[in-house]
Order: sequence, then C-alpha cells, then structure tokens
Amino acid sequence: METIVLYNTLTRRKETFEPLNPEYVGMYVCGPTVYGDPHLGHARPAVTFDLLFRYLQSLGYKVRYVRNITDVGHLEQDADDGEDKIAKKARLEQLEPMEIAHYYTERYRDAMRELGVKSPSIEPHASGHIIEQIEMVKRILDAGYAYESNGSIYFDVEKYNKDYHYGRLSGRNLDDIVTNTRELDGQSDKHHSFDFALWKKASPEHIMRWPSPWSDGFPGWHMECSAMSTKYLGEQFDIHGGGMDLMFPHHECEIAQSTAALGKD
Amino acid sequence: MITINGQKMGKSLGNFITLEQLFTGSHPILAQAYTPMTIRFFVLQAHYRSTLDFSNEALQAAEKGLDRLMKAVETLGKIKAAEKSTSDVNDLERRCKEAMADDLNSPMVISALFDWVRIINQAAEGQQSFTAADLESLKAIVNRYVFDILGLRNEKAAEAGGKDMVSPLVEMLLNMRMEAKAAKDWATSDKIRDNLTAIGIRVKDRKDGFDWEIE
Ligand SMILES: [Zn+2]
Repeated sequence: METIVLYNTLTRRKETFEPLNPEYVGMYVCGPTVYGDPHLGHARPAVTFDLLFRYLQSLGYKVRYVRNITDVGHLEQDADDGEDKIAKKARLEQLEPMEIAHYYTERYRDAMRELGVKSPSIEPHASGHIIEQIEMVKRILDAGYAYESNGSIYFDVEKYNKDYHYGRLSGRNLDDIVTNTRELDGQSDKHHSFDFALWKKASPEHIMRWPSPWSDGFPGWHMECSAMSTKYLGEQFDIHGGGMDLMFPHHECEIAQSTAALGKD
Repeated sequence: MITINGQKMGKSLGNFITLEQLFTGSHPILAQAYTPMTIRFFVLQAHYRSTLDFSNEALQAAEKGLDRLMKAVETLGKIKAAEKSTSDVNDLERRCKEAMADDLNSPMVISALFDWVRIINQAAEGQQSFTAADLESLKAIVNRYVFDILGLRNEKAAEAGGKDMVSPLVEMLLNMRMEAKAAKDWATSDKIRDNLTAIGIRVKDRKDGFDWEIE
C-alpha cells in the first residue's frame, strides 16, 4: 500500500498513516445533531471526510466508516443542564422528538447526497444504543472514574487526571480548565464544574427518557460516540474525526470516557 | 474553521446559511444560487485544516473554475489521437498522487488539474498532441481524481442528459400511438395519450402528426 501522511491532532504533527490491521481502516466521524436544517458548518467536515473515505478506498483499503446521528442527549449550549435540542424543537413544532429527528436526518441525508458525499458504512443513532451507553457508564463507574449524584452519573475529571492526562487532545491542563470554568452555583449535583455528565436523571418535563440502574434519564452527549465507536470499530481504531469545534469538550470527553472504561490510552 | 465574509457564522449575526438556502440563493447575503458541486469544489479548493471564508466573490470564482474543469473533461473526450505526445501524462498522475498522500492536499490536486486543463485545451486547438495510449491514460487519471476521489460530478451534463432522454422517449410513444391509430386500435391510442397526460405531457394532434409539450 502507498505511503500516506495525515495530520494527527493528538500529536499536532503529520504522521505516516498505518492502520492497525493492514488493508482495513476503521473510521469514526461525529455526525449531526438532527434538530435543524443542515448548514454550511455541516458541509465542510462532511466533504472533508468524504474525500478521505473515497481516497482510502481508491488506495484499496476496506474502510468501515461510521458516522453517527445524535438524536438524544445534546443539550442547549452543549451543556450538562438545560433542554435537549431535539426535544425543544419538538415542543416548538408540537411534534414528537423522534419526528423531529427523523425529519432532519432525512434533510441531512438529502443535502449530503446533493454534495456528492457518500453514505457511510454504518450510521448509528444515539437513541438506538441506550443499552450500550448504559453498559459503558457501568464500566466507567466500576473503574472508579465516575460518581453517582442524585440519580445522575458524572465523570470524575480530577480522579481521571491523576492517572491520565485530561486535556491532551485540546492541549489543555486541568489547571487551565479550572481557572476558565465558573464556580458551581450550589444547585448542581456535580462535585466540580469541570466534571461532565455520563447519565442524566430526567426532570419531570423531560420526555426523552429511558430506564437505567440509576434513574429514568438519558445519556450525556459525549457518551454515544464512545459507546458506538467501541461497538462497531472495536476498542482501538484508526481514525476519529469531526469538526474543530468539537475538539473541546466533546472529543476530549470521549477520549476520557473510552480510556477510563477500557483501562488504556 | 468556517467564516462568512470574514465573520464567524451565527444565528444572532444574521449570516447563518443553510445548504438549501445556498442551493436556491434564498438568503439576503447571497447574490445568487450556488449548485451543490460549486460548494463542494469551493470546499476542496482549500486545505481542510485552513480557514474557509465564504463570500459571493469566492463562490462565483469557484463556479467558474468548476465550469472550466468540466468543460475540459468534455473536451478531453473529443481529442483525436496523434502520432506522438507533446506532454507527459505521468506528470499529472505524480502530482495528484503526491498531493493526496501529503495530508489530503486537495488544493494541490486541483492546481495540477488546472495546469492540465490548459494542456487539454491546447490539444483541442492542435497546439499539443497525444498518442492513443496516452489519451486513454490521461482520461483514466482525470476521471479517477475529478470524479472518484474529489467526488465531483458534471452537473450541467447530467441536466442536459436528463432532458435529452425525455424527448426521444415521448417521440417513441407517440409514434407507437400513430401506428395504433393507423390500425384503428383506438384503445391503445387513447391509452398512450391518457397516460402521458397523467404524467404531465400534453399531446396535440396535428394533420400531419403530433405536437407535445411538458405542462
Ligand atoms: Zn461525537
């Protein structure tokens, strides 16, 4: 196979690309949260990863390209509190959240087809993988890197940072993160403001909810990508992609979750 | 990162543009509609890690560039083979290959392709020539990079092709209808007319034959 170099955000360097299994490439890319029409911000990463997908295939690699659909757990302002983006749209439009998710998934797919973006190999929905996400939360709890608080489960960033480096993708240290996050207002169930939700207990008005050992609730936004990438590509895979805007916190949290659950970097 | 006229995109900034608005031109910022392939080509013209600034000027330039590229692909199909080649087709292959292998450098691929757009156009004017074998490999290289890897498609040709198929099909059906009429097979004749009407094609009988139009 031809030698190619790709930029690795983790090392901030261009590196020779060597897949874990010769001939096979596993690639996971964070897809859209389906609560609105696809816009310019969706076009660029989609075209970029389509270019990579097509290129790797043209070189003869067998590529398994997984691109998820976020239809649950992505809250307003990308935060741990607030309304689910899809549920909010559903409330405004007086529809079921899943009607919103379906409609905008179709809109996204149509636009991608127009842009010549090939369909990925697998397009899993977060709502279709609640069991896998709960299992992964359990693993993180068992490994000791998460805590339960009032029916919700939070990732213990400080504990994790003692054993691994939280912030290694975005080039941050926990100290910087601490100074840049506001203090908790006393209302929160979290121990620290920089901890993030793995599972959230649903408030009475929150309609998108599933039973779990801890509460009727829903997974944290970052959980789906860790759970679905592990399910379809294994514990280690070759390429993880997404827009630069996702580097922190989304991808940073994904790395921490997967590392904590699987017990290795 | 993506910017629009140098500004970040945001709902509050009034420059939040959906893809449908781009494709139809229905946003106050947009001077015109831009086809999906213009957008794709525009994205590919910049390296994926660089900032991409959308503006009408930049998109119009991309539209022109894509048009030149697609015209050259069509021109390439019409060039006749000659005794000898005046340019080395491996040069294009090598440059595209190196650019892609160097962190997906699509702008370098496009710039190599444009150097060859010029060569192809010169060949059409008789200022360059290629052997039959070189023409075949040139076509293969161009197809591989333009269509398979960059994932572009020739929107204008596809549009024209779609229209061209309708006419001969309608004419064929209406000729069958003429034959049916001549054989006094009114049932078949009416069926063809009614079915065409149902899909929006109006048939008008004339003394010497027929006329038709899409409603
Ligand atoms: Zn993700």
